[in-house]
Amino acid sequence: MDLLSVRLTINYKDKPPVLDELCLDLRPGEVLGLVGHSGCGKSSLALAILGLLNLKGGKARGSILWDGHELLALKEKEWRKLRGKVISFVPQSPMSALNPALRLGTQMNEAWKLHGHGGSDHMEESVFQALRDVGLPPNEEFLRRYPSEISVGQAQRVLIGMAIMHRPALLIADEPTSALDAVTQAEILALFGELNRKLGMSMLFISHDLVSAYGLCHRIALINAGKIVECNTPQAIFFSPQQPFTKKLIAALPTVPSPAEVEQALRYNTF
Amino acid sequence: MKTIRLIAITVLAVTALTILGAHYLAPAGYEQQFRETPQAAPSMHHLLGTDELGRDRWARLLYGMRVSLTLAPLAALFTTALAGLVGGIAGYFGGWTERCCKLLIDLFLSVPWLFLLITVRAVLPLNVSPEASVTVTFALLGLLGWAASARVICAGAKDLMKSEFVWMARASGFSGLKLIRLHLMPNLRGALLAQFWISIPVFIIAEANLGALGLGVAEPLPSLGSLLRELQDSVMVRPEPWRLLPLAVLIVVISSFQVLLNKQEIRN
Repeated sequence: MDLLSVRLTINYKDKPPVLDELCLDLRPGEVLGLVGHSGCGKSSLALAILGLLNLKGGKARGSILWDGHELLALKEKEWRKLRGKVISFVPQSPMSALNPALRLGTQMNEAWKLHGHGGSDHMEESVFQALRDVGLPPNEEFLRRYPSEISVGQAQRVLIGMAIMHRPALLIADEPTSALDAVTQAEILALFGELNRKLGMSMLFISHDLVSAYGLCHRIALINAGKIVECNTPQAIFFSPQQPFTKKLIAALPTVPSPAEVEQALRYNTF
Repeated sequence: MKTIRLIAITVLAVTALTILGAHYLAPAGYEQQFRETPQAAPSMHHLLGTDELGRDRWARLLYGMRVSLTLAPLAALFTTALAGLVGGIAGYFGGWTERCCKLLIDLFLSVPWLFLLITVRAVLPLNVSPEASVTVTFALLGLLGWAASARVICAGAKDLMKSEFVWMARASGFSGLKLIRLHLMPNLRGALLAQFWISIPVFIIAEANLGALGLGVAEPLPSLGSLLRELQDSVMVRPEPWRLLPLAVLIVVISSFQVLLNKQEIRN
């Protein structure tokens, strides 16, 4: 049975829909990549699954089935119990997603208190465990820092740590690597893969970058014009694309230049 | 940075002691006249000389600080809290709540309050005690001064509500009071503090000006405001520079407060 099954139309105010009867299924433990260009409604889908779309003035029609239950029929109070506990979220720009006025420790503790039960010993243990899970130093010194005192990569790890603290069943990552440099990006992608294997949680990996989705995802869904164009394994998408849109996307990927190409470029480059 | 903070703490401690111990520190009562020596220069007898009515300036400064430096911060605190409340509610909820709050703010900004103050003066009995008069004045200032600050806070809160980390907080399950306490308040702190600091000197001066209406501090009770009003007589400031001391005291005390409470801002 599918963990998440989405049939959704999303529109803002009276404008034409961004997502038009989009269908998407996610199996337990699966990493599903959602790839499409900027502004195609990927983030709106994430917001809809978190029940936050109405705050942005958007309207979702259709159904979001979670383990057989209809999420769109939930009351705000019930949504709140899901957010951060069962379905959690990792945002695009880690630096602005952390509250600049609070120490990292405060932010992690408060995130724990929202859904955690037990005393402060239990909280401390959970926070340290979350830090260990994402490869950050589990000590007080680190937790006393402010977001301005850590690197972007560390900030993204803190956010991932906060997201997985309650061992959610689904992690939605909205362009989690697009604000990072190539090396950090590779590290974060490896971390996602490791967490998926270790904790067995499903992931919805939203990105505009097909290559970063390739190594991480079990299946990749391509969105264009509000619909899923093609949904298949990375191998099938890359090596036997069926749809013209997919073929175009694959053709547009940058490649590492061959030695001959570099030499030719250098020859014309007379300083 | 540490020494500056230490100095600030010392200044505030001394001020607090002076305010509390004005009774013992003052060489004479604030209303006691030394009729044979009006307009005296500083001497061992009168540390800051005497004013036109022969009253000891040092004693008047001590008592004036007591009145102004307790009531003005209280009024500023009240007005900032009110601004934070109205501005915060408007910014947090948005929509028609925001429109209602903005309407209230505009109303408060546009009504000519001078007439209200005159009315209040007319309602108060003529023989009202100076203490009651000054309390009423500062209470009114506190009650009326919030509108401009509320606008600033509203704009700040609205920006914060749109910020990435508030979205992130919502996505982790934060809402309502928890969201306000953890994510709005700490980030509005700077703006609120600024409003608070601006309000204190404004209220002290406003109280001095209201004296012309018979509101504010009535003679013979001194306040920092009424002492500052003496500086309007600029001809006399040059030969008697000690008249500037109330101004210096005000600047030093407010700066000390600022040094102590703004460590957050310095870090950022």
